[in-house]
Amino acid sequence: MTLLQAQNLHKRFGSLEALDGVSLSLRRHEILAIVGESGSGKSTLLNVLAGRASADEGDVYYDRGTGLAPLSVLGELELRRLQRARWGFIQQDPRQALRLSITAGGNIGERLMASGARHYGDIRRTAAHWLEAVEIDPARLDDLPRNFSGGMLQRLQIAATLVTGPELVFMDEPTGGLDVSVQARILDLIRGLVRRLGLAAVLVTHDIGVARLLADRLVVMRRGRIVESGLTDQVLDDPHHEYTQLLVSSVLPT
Amino acid sequence: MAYVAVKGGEAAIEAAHSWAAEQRRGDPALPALMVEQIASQLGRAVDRVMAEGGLYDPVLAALAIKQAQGDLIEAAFLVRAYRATLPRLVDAEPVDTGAMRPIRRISAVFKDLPGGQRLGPTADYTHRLLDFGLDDAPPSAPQAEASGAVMPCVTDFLGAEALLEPDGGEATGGAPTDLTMEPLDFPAPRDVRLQALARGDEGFLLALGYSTQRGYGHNHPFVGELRVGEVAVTLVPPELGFAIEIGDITLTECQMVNQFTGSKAAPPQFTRGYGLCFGHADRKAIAMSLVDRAMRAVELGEEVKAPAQDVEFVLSHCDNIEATGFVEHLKLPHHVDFQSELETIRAMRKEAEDGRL
Amino acid sequence: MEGYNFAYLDEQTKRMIRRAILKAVAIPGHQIPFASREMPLPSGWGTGGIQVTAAILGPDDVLKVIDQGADDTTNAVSIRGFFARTAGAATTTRTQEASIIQTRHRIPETKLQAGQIIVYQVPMPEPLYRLEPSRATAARMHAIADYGAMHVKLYEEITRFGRVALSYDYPVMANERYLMSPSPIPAFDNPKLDMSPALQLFGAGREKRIYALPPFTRVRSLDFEDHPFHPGRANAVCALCGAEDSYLDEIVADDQGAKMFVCSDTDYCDTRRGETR
Repeated sequence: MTLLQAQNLHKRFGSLEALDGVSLSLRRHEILAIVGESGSGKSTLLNVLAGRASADEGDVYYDRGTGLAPLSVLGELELRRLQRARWGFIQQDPRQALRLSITAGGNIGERLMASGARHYGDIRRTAAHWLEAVEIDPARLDDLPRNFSGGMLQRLQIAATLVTGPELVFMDEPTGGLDVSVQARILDLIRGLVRRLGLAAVLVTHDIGVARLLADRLVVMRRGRIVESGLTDQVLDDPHHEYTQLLVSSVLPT
Repeated sequence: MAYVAVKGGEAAIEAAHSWAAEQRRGDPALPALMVEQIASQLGRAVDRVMAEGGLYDPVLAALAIKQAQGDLIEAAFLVRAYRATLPRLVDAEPVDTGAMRPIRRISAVFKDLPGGQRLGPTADYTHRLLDFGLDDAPPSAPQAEASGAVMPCVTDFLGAEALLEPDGGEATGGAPTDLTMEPLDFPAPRDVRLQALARGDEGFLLALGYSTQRGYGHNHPFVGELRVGEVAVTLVPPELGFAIEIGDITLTECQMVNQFTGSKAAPPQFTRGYGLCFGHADRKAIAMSLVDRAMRAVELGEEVKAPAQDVEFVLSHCDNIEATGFVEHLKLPHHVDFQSELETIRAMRKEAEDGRL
Repeated sequence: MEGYNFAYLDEQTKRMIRRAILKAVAIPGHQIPFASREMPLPSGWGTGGIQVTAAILGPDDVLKVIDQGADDTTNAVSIRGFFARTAGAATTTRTQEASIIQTRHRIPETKLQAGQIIVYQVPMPEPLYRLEPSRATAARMHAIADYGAMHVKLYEEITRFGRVALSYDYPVMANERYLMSPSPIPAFDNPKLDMSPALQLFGAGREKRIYALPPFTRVRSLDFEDHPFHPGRANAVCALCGAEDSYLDEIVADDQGAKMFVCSDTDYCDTRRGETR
C-alpha cells in the first residue's frame, strides 16, 4: 500500500540544515500536504521526493509495482522515464513549466510524445479532451499560451501533466501565484481531477486552507524538521505541537 | 537550345586564384612590400595576427599579412594552419611576468608606486588628427638612462594586505589543458577559458568587455596594472635536466581588480580578472581581463544574466577562424537544400490554394 | 607534397581520429568529440570530412568527392585536388569505382555496396541545436533519450502548415536509440541511410564531432503514423537523361524564367546517357 517513502533525509546548504532527519510515507490514492512557512524546507523536501534534487543522507523509496526500492539505484535514465510519464510535477509558476511559443496542444502532447505517442490525430484528440477537462475551450488547441491568463496557464500545466495518467503527482504551491478569485476554482478543479483519477499526490503549501481542502493527511515542517503529522482534520482541529497551534491560530477566519 | 551542363570548375578556381594574386601584388609599378617592412612598421597588425594565430613569430605573421592582402583574420588563419603542421617538441616553463622588463607600465589604482608610472611607446594621449606629413621628417624620441628600477606587481601590494584574492586559487596543480589538442568541453575550467580568450577575436572580446561596463554583468573594474615588455622563455630540455633561456617574447599583461566579495562573516576581498596576449595590445589585454572576470560569475556566486558571463556562449564564438569559416561557408553552393525548400513551399502553397477553392 | 605526411595529417592525429571513428561505429548515431585540427581549408568548408577521409585513406583507395551531387562543383574540385596533392590519391567520378566517397549534401543515386565507405561533411552535428543551442544541455538530452521536444517541433509544423516543413537535414533515429542529423542532405535521400551495406561516417570539423552508422543499421526518419515521412522531389523528369527517380536540380534557362530540371548526381546522369569522363 505504501507508494512513496522517505527515510531520514538530510540536506545542507552550506551551514543551513534544509532537511534535518525527515521521514514520511505516502499510500496509493492518498493526498499528503506538506505545510510550513517559507524557509521551513518544504520545497526542498518536495524536490528531493520527486527526484529533482538529491539528499546528502537518507533515501527516497518508490514502489514501481515490485515493492519499495530506493531511487538512488534507479539510474538517471529510469528516473527520467518515471518523471516523464508515471509521475507529474506541477510548478507554482506555469510559465516555467510550459513552452510559451508552442501551441496549447503541443504543450499537452509533449509528455505523450516523449513517452512514444506517434499518432498525430490521437495526440490532438487527447489534448482537446484534456483542455475540456481543465475547463479551457478546446477551440484554443492551436493557440499560443503566450496570451493566456495566469489561471488558464495553470490549467494548461495541469492538463499537460495529467495527460500521461500519472499515479503520483507532486505540486508546489499550485495556486500560489494566482488571484484569490481564481484560486478557488483551480483548487476545485484539482480536487475533482485527483479524486476522479485516484491519484496519489504530495502537495506543498503555506496555506492551511488549501491543505484542508485537498489533503487526507498532512505534515507540518519547521526549520527542516517535521514537528507534527496526522490526518488533516485531526491536526488542524486539535493541533498538539505549539508551532502547529501558532500556524492554525494565525489563519484569519473566513 | 540544348542545355550544356556547366563544367570547368577547376579552371575557374585556378583563374580566380591568379586574379587574386594579381590584386594582391597591386600596381606593378610600385615596389612590392617587404615582409621586413610589415614586421617593422605594422607592429600592431603583426601582434594581432600572432595572438589570434596562436604562434609567436613576427616574421611569419608579417608574411601572412602580406599574403592575405591585409585581411588580418585571413592572416591569422594562415598562421594557424602553419602552426598545426609544426612538431611539438617540449612545453616551456610558465613565463614570469613579474620578471618582465616593462617598457610600459601603468596602474589606474595608485597615483604613484615603486617603479613609477611609465607610459612607454603609447599613442594614448595623441590627438587623433590624420597626419598628412607622416614620415616627412624622421621621428626622434628623447633618450634617457635606463633606470633599472624595480617594478613590483601592484597586485602584490594589495595581496600583502589580503585585500585581493590570491592568484590562481583554483589551480589544480596538474598540467594545463591544451585547447589545440583536446575538444572544448563544458564546464570549462579557467585555464581553458583563458587560453580560448588569448586566441580569441579582439573585436568580439572588445564588444563583450564593453557590454559588461555598460551593465551587462557589471563587475566594477579597475586596471590594477597594465604591463608591456619582454619576458624570457625558458624550458627544460630532457637531455639537460635544467632550465635554459631560449629567447624573449613581448607580452601585454593586464591585472584587473574587480568587485569585492565577502560578507560580515567572510572578510571582503577584491576579485580579479586577467588578460595576457602576444605583443603590444592594450585593448585586447584589458578586454580579455573584463571577460575573464565576467565568466567567473558562477564560481564567485554571482547570478549569470549577461552574455559575457555565459561561458558556453563566449567560448563557442570567440574563435574568429571558426566563425569566419562557418559564416563564409554560406557562399558555397546550397542549391540542393534550397531545391527541397522550393518544392516544400510550392506544395504548401498549392495545398492552401486547393483548400480555398 | 614536400614536408607533409601522406594525406597531410601526421600519424598521431590519424590514430586519434581513427579511435574516435571506432567509438562512433560502436555506438551508431552518437556524437564522439575529437580534437579537430586546424586544416588548410576553412572550417565550415568540409574540414571534418577531410580529416575523416585523411585518417582512413590508404595507397590503394580510390576516392570520389562530390558536392551537391556533382564532381565538379568548386569545393569538390578543391578537396579532390587537396587529396591528389597530399596523398597522390587515385580519384574517380564513378560511384561504382570508388572505395571512399566524400560528399556534401547528397547521397549518390547509385546504391552503395559492401566495402564502400561514404564520408559526409557535417556543418551542425547536433540535431537539437535549433531547439537547444547549448551543446552541454543537448548532450544530457541524448544521454537520457529526452527527445520529446523534437517531436513537438514536428507536431507544431503539422499544426501550422498541414505537413512537416523540414525538407533537408531531416532528423533520424539511429538504431532506435540516438537522434541524429544526417547532414544537410535533402529528405529525399534519407531512405538511403537505412540498412545501407556501406559504412557511413560523419565528420564535423568546426564543431569537433564524429559519428557513424555501421553497415546495415536501422535508420528511421521521425514522423507520425498518420503523417508518414514523405521524401520529396520535383515532379519532373531529367531533361538530359530522362530519369524519373533521381533528385533534380532546377535550372533557370532564360530571362522569362523558363525552367528545366537536371539530375543533381552527375555520375548517375552521365552513366544513363552512356557518357563516361
